[in-house]
Amino acid sequence: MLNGKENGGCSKHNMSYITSDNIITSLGNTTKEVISNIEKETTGIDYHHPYLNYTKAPISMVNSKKIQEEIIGIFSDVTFTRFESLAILSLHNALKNSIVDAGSPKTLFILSTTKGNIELLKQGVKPSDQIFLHNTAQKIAGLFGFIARPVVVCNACISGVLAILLAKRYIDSGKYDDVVVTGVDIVTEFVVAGFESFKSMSEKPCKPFDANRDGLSLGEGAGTVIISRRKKSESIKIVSGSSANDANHISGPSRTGEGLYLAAKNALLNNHKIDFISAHGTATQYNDDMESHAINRLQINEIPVNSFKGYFGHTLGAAGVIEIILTKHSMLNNMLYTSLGMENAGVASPLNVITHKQKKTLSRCLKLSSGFGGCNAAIVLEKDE
Amino acid sequence: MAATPQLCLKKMNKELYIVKNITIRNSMVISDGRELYSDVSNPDFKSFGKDLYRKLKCNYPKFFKMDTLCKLTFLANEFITRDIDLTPYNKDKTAVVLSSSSSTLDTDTIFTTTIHAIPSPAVFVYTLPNIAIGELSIRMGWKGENLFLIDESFHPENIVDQVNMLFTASQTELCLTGWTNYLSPTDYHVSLWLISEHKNVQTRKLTSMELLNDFSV
Repeated sequence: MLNGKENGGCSKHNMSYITSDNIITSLGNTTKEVISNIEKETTGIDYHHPYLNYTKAPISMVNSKKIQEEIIGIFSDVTFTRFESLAILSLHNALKNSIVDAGSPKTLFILSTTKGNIELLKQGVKPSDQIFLHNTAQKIAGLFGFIARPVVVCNACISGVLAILLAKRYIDSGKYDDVVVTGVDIVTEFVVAGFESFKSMSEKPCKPFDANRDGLSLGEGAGTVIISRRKKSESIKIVSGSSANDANHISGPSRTGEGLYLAAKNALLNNHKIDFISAHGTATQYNDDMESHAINRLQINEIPVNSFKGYFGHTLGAAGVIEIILTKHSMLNNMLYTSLGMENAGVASPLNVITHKQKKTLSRCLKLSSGFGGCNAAIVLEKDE
Repeated sequence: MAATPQLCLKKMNKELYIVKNITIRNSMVISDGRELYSDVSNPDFKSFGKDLYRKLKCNYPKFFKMDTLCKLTFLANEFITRDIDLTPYNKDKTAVVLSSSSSTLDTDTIFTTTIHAIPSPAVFVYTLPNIAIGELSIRMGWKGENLFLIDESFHPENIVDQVNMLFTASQTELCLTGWTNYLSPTDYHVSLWLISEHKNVQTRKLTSMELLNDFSV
C-alpha cells in the first residue's frame, strides 16, 4: 500500500522542503506584507485604467515604481523590463533569506510564466531576443550566478504548480539539491485583450465561489520558493503531486472536473485526510463549478477551502507559486484565511468555503490548479512534526 | 512501510524504450530513420501541412481551427500513433511532455495585430503552447501527466531526464515526448517519441544518443 509518506522518496533525507520564499503582488513586495494584508482582509484589486477600452475592469497591479527603486539599489547598471524587474526582485528577496548557493551545479533555477516579456512584441516590428522565454530565464539566472541551465515551465495557469512539482521530482531524482522556482506574470494589453475576448473578466473585483460571481480579475505578481533536500529552519514539505488532462476542450474545463479529479486523486495517494484546500478559484462560472464537482467526487467537500484570488486576482503563471507559499504560511500560522469575495454559496456542488478566518491545526493541505488546454495539477504539502 | 526501499530500488532500475519516433521538417516525414514522405517542392509548411493532413485521411475538422504549432504537433502525433497498438496502455496514465524554443510566437504575432481591432478568443487560446498538449489529449483521450517546457534548443538529455522522472515519480505507462518548434513557414521542426517500459523487437533503449540521431536526420 502506498501512502503519502512513502512517496517522498527513499528516505527522510530525500524530502522537498520549502526553505525560503517571497511574494510580490499589489499587497506588498514581501511575503510578510502580503500576509498581513490578507489577515486584514484587504484586497489589492482596484479600478485601474490600464489599456484600451477596458477601463471597467478591476485589476491587481504591483507598485512598479517602488519595485524599480528597489532594483536600482541591487543592480544599478542593467536595465530591465517590468516583467524582469518583478522576477529579479522576488528572486533577490527569496535568496537573501537563504543559504542556498546559486553557483552550485546542484542548484537549479526554474522560471514559471505564461507570457513573459510579451509586451515587447509590437505590431510590425521584428521580435526582440527577450521575447523568447529561455533568453529571459538565462538573463535572470545569469544575474544571480546560477550555473545549471535554467528550465522554463510554460503550461498556462498550472505553470506554477507544475514547476514546483518538477522541482520536487528533480530533488527526488538526486540531480539537484536545491531548486529555486520563480513564477511571474504581468498584466499587459495582450493578456487583457485576450481574457476580455473570452468575456471572462469580471466588472467588479472577483468573487470566487460566490453565487453572483461573474468572472476573474487579472492580477500581476511574482512568487519565489526555494525547495531544498535538507530541512533548514522551516518545516513545510512538498510530499506528492500530479498533473492530468481533461481530454475534453481546449478553452473550457471539463463539466465533471475529470482532469482535476484525477490529478488530485493521484496527488493524495489514497490518503484523503487533509485539513485545508487552496483551490484555483478564479471566480469564472465554469471554473468554480468544475472545482466543486472535482472536490465532491474526491469526497473532501467537508474540508475548508478558499481561493486567494479575491486578494490579488489571477496572477496566471505566478498563481501556483504564490498560492503554494500562502498555503505554507497558512500551515505555519495554523490559520484558515477567508476566501475574500464569497458572500452567498453558489457553486454546483456544495463546498465548505472559508467565510471567516479562523485558527485550525493544519498538518496536511492540498493545492489545486487548472488551466486552458484542459490541464490540471495538484500538490500535497505536509508539516514536519 | 518496510516495502519502501525495495520499491525505490525497483523504480530506479527501470529501463525505458523508444517505441517509435517521427520527425517532420524540411517538407519531409521521417520515422525511426526511414523516410515516409517528402515533397521538397513544397517548402511552405502551410501547404505541406495540408497535404499531410489529406494524405493521412484523418477526417478531423478541428485540425483547420488549430494554429501552426498545434497543426505541426498534431500531424506528427497522427503519424506516430498509426500502426501501433496503444490498447495495452491506460489512457489515464499516458503522459505528454513537449519542449519548444519559439513557443507560440507565430500566433502571438497574429494576436498582436488584432488587439486594437476585435481580439478573437479562438486566436488567443493558441497563445499558450500547452494547447498543443490539450489538442493531442482530446484527439487521443489521454488524461495523464502534462508538461510544456521552453528551451533554447533541443537538449536530448533534458528529455531523458524528464521522461525518467515521470516513469519514476508518477503512474505513467506511456509517454509522448519531444520537440515541437514553428518559427516560420520554412523553419519548423517536430520530433516526437513514444516511450514505454516494455521492450520488444521493434523498441530501442532510450538514450540521449538515440534521440539526437532521430532528431538530426
